[in-house]
Amino acid sequence: MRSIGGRLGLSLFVSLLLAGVLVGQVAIWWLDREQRQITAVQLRDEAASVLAAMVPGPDGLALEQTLLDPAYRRPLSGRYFMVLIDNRRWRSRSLWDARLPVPESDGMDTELLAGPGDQRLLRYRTRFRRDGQDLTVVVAQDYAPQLANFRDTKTAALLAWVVVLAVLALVQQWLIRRGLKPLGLARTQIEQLRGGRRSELDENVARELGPLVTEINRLQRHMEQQLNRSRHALGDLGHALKTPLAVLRNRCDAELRERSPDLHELLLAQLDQIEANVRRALGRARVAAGATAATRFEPGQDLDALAETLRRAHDKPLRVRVEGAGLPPQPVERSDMLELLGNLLDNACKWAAGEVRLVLDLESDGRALRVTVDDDGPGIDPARREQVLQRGRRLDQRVPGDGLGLAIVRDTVAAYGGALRLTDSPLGGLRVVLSLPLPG
Amino acid sequence: MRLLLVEDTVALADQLLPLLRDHGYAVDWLADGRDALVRAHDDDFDLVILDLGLPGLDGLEVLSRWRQQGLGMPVLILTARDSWAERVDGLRAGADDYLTKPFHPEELLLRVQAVLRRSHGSANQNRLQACGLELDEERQSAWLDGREIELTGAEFRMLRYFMLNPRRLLSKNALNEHLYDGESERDSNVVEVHINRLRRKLGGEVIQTRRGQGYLFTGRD
Repeated sequence: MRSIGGRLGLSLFVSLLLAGVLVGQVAIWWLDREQRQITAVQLRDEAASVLAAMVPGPDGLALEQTLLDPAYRRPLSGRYFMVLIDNRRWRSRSLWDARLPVPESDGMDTELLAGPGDQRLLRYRTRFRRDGQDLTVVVAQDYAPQLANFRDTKTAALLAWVVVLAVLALVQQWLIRRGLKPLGLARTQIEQLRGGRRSELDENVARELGPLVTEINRLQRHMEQQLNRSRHALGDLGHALKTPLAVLRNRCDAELRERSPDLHELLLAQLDQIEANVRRALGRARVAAGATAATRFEPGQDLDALAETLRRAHDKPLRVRVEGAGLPPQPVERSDMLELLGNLLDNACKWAAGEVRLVLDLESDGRALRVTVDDDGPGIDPARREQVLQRGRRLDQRVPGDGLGLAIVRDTVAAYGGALRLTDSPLGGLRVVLSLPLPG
Repeated sequence: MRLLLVEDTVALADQLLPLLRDHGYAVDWLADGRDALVRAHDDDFDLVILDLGLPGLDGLEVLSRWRQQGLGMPVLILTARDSWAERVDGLRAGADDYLTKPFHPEELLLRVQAVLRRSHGSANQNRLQACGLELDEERQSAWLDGREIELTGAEFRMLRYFMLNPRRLLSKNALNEHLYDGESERDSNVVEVHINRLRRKLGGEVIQTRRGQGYLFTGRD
């Protein structure tokens, strides 16, 4: 996964670098042109000064050295000239032994000419007419220093540009990070939402994020409503089925037990089966496997009430001890959790001789909720523990029950991706340990 | 013992009413949550059996309003809603016990008996014990000095009410109120007749008369 910030930074850097290089190149080209034009003007003046140094002598026009710029006398000074009259020619002393070819046309030569040393020469040719004679004057100037100058400028500008871009990139990253802060905030809130520490996302966010956040909230509400609706529908169905079942069972007990024991037995068995199926289907469909802030399990609120419910449901002197009411709210759906704890405790209470203990805590790495239920009942033989967890299986018919409790627990634990374990209890009976991984 | 049954399924109510009456309870029956809300104020019920999925007003809502209004009679919830979260919610709304459908009739009777005893501060033993007397609610008979004394239905109902309210002054009116449902004819003479029969069977000192005030169950103490 690539970050938006990195991608933006890279593309900005590359595009600005390319644009900068292009603009720099154009600027240098333009400067070079201007410089050449200035040089051309200078060279024209030089040609005029060279012409002025041609003075009439005994054999016609002759070059008067003293009238020339001293630079023309210094060898390879970078300034050169040549004067041609018919077949006679005069060269500046500065040319020394180098040749200065005459350009083919008048005015500034477009090409740079390799001169003596590493010099690059710009030549300018012009014609004059003096004392009835045609003169061709060629002046040249070394352009290499300017070229070197341009090169240096170019390098310096490029370096400066890269530095500026680097600074710009840093500033941009900072801006991006600042600009994306609402996104980070929304992400944190979504995590909280998932963990059940928040009921909806804050809708007071940047305009660009608004639709996204609103949509997530809408989805969240929709999901909650959907869940509630289906749970209610299931509850209604349960009610609709169970009351008639109760009526049938009671009628069956009251009237058939004496008159037709066989029929009584058969009907009761079938009723038991229907009832067990209804209960299991309802139990499984009820599992939410996830909590919102409104529906998460708060140990402090419910644990004691649950223990009291169990004490009342079991009409025998039982000590039901509950630890873990001090835990903060957990991101596990309340009715799922109560169903788990209720069924486990209910089983424990059925078998216990006098003591049941529930411990609710977090695993040492804090990433799972652990439930430990102990009783001092007869326990289960290690070899048969796997069977107990199976659907509707009852190992012992001595205690009333339909064997569904543990199956519902198993379904719920599976929906949460948790694990269920049966071991020996220090109280002497069975210990059930289950761990539910917590999101986030 | 005067009970109020709030249950909207007629077939179930038709089974429960005779069952409860056979076991010596005076039962009034309502099927609507709104009626139940009002009715509980009119009569002094010893226990309410409350369904949750009621027309008019949900049973849980009825219960929490009763408690808000200061009504403290014991309530046994009888419902198809069998999740533990709903049980906890029921208890928190102020229920004394919670029984889920379908159920065995004996189970309901035992729960009613247990809730009644608990609400009167008696321990839940096989027999109801008070002031040296024992009452077997299953067989509807009294035990005195290890001897079983058979009782008629009316005598049993009256003795149970006395034994759940030992050493408490009960007016003739209150006895009428708690021993007969809203549809029965009430005759103060009937109360006197039954008390005299109980005295004959258990000994004259068991129930004392306070002229102009009512009766006091003191048993053998």
